[in-house]
Amino acid sequence: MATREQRLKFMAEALDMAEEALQTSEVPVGCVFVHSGKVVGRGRNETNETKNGTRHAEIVAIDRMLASGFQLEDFQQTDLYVTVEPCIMCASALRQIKIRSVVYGCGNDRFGGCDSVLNVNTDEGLDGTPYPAEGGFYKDEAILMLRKFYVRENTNAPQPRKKANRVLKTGDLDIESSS
Amino acid sequence: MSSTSFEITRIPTPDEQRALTTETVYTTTISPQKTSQLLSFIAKHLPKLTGIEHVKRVRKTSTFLQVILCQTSAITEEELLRILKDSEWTLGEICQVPDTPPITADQFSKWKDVWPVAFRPPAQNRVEITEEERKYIAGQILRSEQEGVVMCQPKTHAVVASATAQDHPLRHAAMCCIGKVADLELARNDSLVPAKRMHDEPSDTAGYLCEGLDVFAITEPCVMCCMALVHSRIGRLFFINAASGGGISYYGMHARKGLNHHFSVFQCSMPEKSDA
Repeated sequence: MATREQRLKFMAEALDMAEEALQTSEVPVGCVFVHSGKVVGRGRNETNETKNGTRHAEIVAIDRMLASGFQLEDFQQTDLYVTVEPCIMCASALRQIKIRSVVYGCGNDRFGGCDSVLNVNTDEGLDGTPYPAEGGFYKDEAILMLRKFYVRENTNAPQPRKKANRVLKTGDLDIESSS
Repeated sequence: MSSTSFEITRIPTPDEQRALTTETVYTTTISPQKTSQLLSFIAKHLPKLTGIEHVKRVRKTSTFLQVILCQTSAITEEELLRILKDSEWTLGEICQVPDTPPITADQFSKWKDVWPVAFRPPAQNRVEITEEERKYIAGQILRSEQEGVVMCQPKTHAVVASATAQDHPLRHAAMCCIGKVADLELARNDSLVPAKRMHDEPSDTAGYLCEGLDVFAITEPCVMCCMALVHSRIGRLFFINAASGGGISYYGMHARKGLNHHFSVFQCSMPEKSDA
């Protein structure tokens, strides 16, 4: 079992992936898969670029890993670090590939499948293998990333909604905002 | 005309399948002439009813009226007695009332025996499949048997995409079909000048490209696939075989409180060629 310090180190790498998503106007969620203390896969949201609402960070990373020769059975000794609690779809996907455990940043009140809306990771009688999931690692950083996305004016939109008067709220987060 | 045995049954939502649950209220018993006096006393001195707007305030018996004073969750019995002390009203029975509104006739018939309630069935209870649609649905189910998951435009009945599962742990047929719809959209956008793009939406609303589509499958989609259908904003799902670990059977994911999109689900029998 990784120490809290090790977990935060991997979560920082997941946040880097979320930052990359933010830079390309994707909902900023990022993840890394860790096997034997090493990052063996990375992903970030690609739903806008692909016009496919299922291209979440976790699914993208799993696809790339399998395509580049990572063995399906090795997920059983692999842990996922993801900035936002996996949605119900991803929570089920992770169960079906038999992930060992999931560490996440902030919860996902709208879609969360590892506590917030459903408990896909632990409920009995579903496909795959149940797994533990624990949140709260760089939670505020993950939330701040999402808020930066949602205050942004969308320049690609044909009729941009007025977001100019939105302000980035950070008072409730225990971190400094750099932008 | 249609003597076939092709059946289409709408799968109830979790709310429609909900069993009766109750909360408790303080009541008092009065003669009918006193009603308006009591109601104005209640309005002035007692906490409003919250979250049980479907519950009727008054229950009639052959000789008297039983009236809800307030919810037991709102104030303690001691507080209530103190408020009633200088009035002409007395505390009667503590009664159970249904804590959610009935949305099916069956629920209404059970709920109202506990305490009188209003019944306003929501619009999606009245979905009807027309004879023309039955043929279309039968035809697409038969297609699904050959081609995997099929997605169609409900108005024109045109097939948008179909896909079978691939040899990959996550590429189930529904996931692949959603991917095909996305690829078709990307290809179409590339071939159009920007000003004419059909779906040139704000980028934070992308991923809704299956919005309103009818989805046909032989087997109920798993939890992952059902959530993918929620994310993709489909309109209706039709399948033949339910699955115990499926997203509809296990979680009622088509109409779950807390999820931001709901869709209708129909379980069908296997159609004959003559049904299509």
